[in-house]
Amino acid sequence: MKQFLLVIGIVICLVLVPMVITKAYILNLIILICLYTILSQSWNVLGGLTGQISLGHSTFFGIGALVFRYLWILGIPPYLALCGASISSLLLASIIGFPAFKLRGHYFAIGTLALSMIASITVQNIFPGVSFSPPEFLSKYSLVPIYYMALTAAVITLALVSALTRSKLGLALVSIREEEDAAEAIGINTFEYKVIAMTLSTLIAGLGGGLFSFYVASYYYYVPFELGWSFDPVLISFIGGAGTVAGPVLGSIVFVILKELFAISLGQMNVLIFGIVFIFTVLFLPKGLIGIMGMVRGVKKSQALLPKER
Amino acid sequence: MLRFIQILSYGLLNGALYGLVALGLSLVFGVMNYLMVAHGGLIMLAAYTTFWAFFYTHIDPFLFILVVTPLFFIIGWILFKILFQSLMRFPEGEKIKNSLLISFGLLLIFSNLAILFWTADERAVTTVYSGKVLDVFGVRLPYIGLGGVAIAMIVIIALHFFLTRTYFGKAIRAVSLDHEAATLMGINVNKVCLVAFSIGFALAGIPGVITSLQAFNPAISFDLTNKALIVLILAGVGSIKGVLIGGFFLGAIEAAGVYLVGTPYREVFGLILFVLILMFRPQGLAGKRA
Amino acid sequence: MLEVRQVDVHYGDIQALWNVSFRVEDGEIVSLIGSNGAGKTTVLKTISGILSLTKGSVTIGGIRSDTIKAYQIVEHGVSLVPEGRRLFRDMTVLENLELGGYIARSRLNKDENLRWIFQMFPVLQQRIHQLAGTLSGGEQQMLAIARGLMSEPKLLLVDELSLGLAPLIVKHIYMTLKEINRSKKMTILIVEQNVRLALEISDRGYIIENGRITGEGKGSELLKSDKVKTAYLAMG
Repeated sequence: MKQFLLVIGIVICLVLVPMVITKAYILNLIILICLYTILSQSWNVLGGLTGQISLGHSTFFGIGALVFRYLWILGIPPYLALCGASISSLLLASIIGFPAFKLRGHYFAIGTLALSMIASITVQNIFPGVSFSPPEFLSKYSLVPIYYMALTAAVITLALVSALTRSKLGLALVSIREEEDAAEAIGINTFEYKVIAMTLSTLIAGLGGGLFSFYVASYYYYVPFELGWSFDPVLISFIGGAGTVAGPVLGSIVFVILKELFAISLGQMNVLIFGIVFIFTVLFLPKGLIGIMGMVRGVKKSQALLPKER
Repeated sequence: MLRFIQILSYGLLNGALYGLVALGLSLVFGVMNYLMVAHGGLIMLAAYTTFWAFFYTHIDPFLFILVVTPLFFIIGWILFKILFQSLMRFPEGEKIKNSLLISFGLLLIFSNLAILFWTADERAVTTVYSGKVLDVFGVRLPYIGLGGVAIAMIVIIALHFFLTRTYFGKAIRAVSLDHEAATLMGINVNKVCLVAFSIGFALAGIPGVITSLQAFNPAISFDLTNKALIVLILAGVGSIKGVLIGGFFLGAIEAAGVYLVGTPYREVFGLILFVLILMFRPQGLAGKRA
Repeated sequence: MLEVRQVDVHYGDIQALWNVSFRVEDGEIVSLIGSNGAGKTTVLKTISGILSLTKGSVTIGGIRSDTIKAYQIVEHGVSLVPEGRRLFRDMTVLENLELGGYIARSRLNKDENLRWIFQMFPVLQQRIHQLAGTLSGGEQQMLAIARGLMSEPKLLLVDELSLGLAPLIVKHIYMTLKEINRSKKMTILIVEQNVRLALEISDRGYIIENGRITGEGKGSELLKSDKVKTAYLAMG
C-alpha cells in the first residue's frame, strides 16, 4: 500500500513538473528517461522475465517509429498514431518473431541480431532520406505535449509490466526462464507463453518507437533501426535488475544521466561505462542495482522474480 | 558473364577471409561452449593495432602477423583468467548464456574504446601493393585478396596439423567432445580451455591484420561478429574444413546477392540465409549442432 | 592397493553414499554389484576423482587420492572405463588409444602398449583408422577398455561394461579381463548389474544397496548365496 501511494505521489509530481519548470533541459531529461524506460521494459518482458535474450529489439522500435511518423503525417492524431505504431510492431513480430521461437537460448539471441541487421540495412536502402515531423507541429514546437505523451506511455508501460509480474502469467514466464524443460514437463505450453511475452514486448517496443518519432523532429529514417537501440536496453535492464519492474527504471535514470554528463565531451562514453558495469554485473551481481538495494533493505517482493542466485 | 565471374571471384576471396574470421569463434565454442561475440571487436582492434604499427614503423602488415599472433594470444590468456575462467563450472546452457553476455559487453567496450581513441573515421593501411590486381583472363583479383586467401590456407593447414598430429591438439579435440572423458585420460581440461581460448584470440589477430588493408572503422566489430556467427552456423561445430567451406559459401551467397540485387544489399542475402538456416537446419550444412 | 574408508558422497544436498568402506588387494579382481541406482557408478566416480567425497578417504597404493585433482589421478595409476564408454566418437580408434596413453610416461611406451592391446583385442587393429562412433557395441566396449589400459594403470575400474551388449560378447570381454589380470597382475574393480558374469571371474565381491555396502564375500560364495540369487541372478 505504501509503495502504491509513493508511486502515485511521484506520478503526480511528474505531471505537475511542466507547469512549474520551464527549462527545456529538465523536460528533455525526463522524456529521455521515459523513452529508455519504455524500451528497456519492452526488452525486460522478453529477456529479463522470460529469459529469451533478444539482441534485435531495434527492429520493433524502428517499425514503431516508422509507422508513427507515417500515420502522423497523414493527419492522424498522435495518441491514435501511437496505438497504430504499437500494433504495427506486433504485426511485424507475428510474421517473423513468432517463428523465431523455434530457436532456443543463444540461437534466439543471434537470430534476433541478424534480424535487426537485416532491418537496418533494408531501411537504409529503401528510405535513405530524412524524416520530418508534420510542419504544423514543427511551427509551434513545444516539449510539453511530448513530455505528457512520454509520461503517459511510461506509466502505461510500467503499469502493464507491474501487473504482469504480479500475475500467474508472470510466474509462468519466470518458470520458463529458470528451467524451460521442467516447465514443459509440468504442462506449461512454453511456446504459447513465449508468444504472449513477445506480444507484450513488441507492443511496448512499438510504443517506444512511436514516442521517439514524436519527440525527435527530424532524423534519418534508419536511425531508430540502429543497433544501439538493441543493445542499450540489454545493458540497462541487466544493470538495473533484469526481471523486475523498478530495475529498468533505475537503469534508465543512471544511463540517461551519464549520457548527459558525457554528451559534450566524449559522446558514447556512457555506453562504454555501462559495458564495463554490465560485465561486472553478469559476473558478480546477477540481480543488478535492485539486488544491491534489496540487500540493504531486506527482501522485497520483487526479488522473487529475480534470476536464480548463481 | 564476365561480370558474374568477377563478382563471384570477389565473393570467394571474401569467403576465405570469412572462414578465417570464424575460425577462432568456432574453435572456442567447440571446445568450451563459450559464444565469443566479441570476436569481431578483437579483429577490429587487431586492425587498428596493425594500422598504427604501420603508421609509425611502416612494417608490412603481412609481416606484422608474426607480432599480432603472439600478442593476441597473450591478451586472450589474460582475459580468460580474469573474466572467463569462472564460467567453466556452469552447466552448458548457463555457460553459453553468460559467455554470450560478457562477450557482448566486451564487444561494446571494444567498439566504444576504439571510437573514443581513434574516432569513427575510416582507416586503411595503404601499401605498395594496395590497389594492384592480378589480371586473369579479364577477371581482376586484388593482390590483397589473394594474400588473404594464402594466409587463410596457411593458418588452416597449420591448425589442422596441430589438431591432428600433436598430443595437445588431440587433447583439444577430446575436450571439445567430452570434458569428463578427457579428464579421465589425464587431460587438464582447464588448461586446455585456457590455451584454446588464447588460440581463439590469436586467430582474431590474423584476419584483423588483413582487414586493416581495406577500409575499416570501429563499426566493423559488429559486421565481422555477424559474419563469424553466420559461418559458425553454416559450418556446424567441430570441423575446420567446414568453417572454410562455410566461409566460401557465405562469400558466394553474398556474390549472388550483389549480382541479383546490387551491392547495398550484399549483406542482407547472407543474413536471410542465416536466419533460414537457424530456423530449419541449425546443425549447419556440414557438421554437428552449434 | 585400494582402500575406501567410510566414504560419504553428496550430489548437492542429496546424499548418495553412506559410510562406504571396502578394499581391493593387489592383483585381485573385485566386483561391486548392485541394482540400478544403488550407487555403484558414484563409487567409481569418487575413486577416479570426478566426484568429491564429503566424508572419509580413498587411498590408492598408500597415497590419499581424494585430495588430488581428477586429471592427476591417472598418473597415480588409476584408470576408469566409464559407464556408457564415453569414447571420443568423432576420433579414430587409434586416436582414442593415443589419448588413453596421454600422460607423459605412457607416451614413451606407446608402441609397445599398442602391440599388447592389439594382441588382446585384434579387432581394434583391423579398425584402427575408423571413427570410434562407427564401431559396433562390443567393439566400442573393447576400445573403451583398451583406451583405459593405455595409461598402464595399476588399478583398472570398469563401470557397467555389459550394458547393451549381447551375452556372448560380454563373456568374451570378461574372459579377456581375466587374462589381463592374470598376465599383467593388474588389479581390477568391476561394477556390474549383470552379476553372474562379473562374479564368475572375481576373487571377491561386495554388494551395494541404496548407497550402502550390505554384503561381501568370495566371488564363488556370493554366486551361491541365497540373497544374491533372489535379488540379482533372476535378472542377471
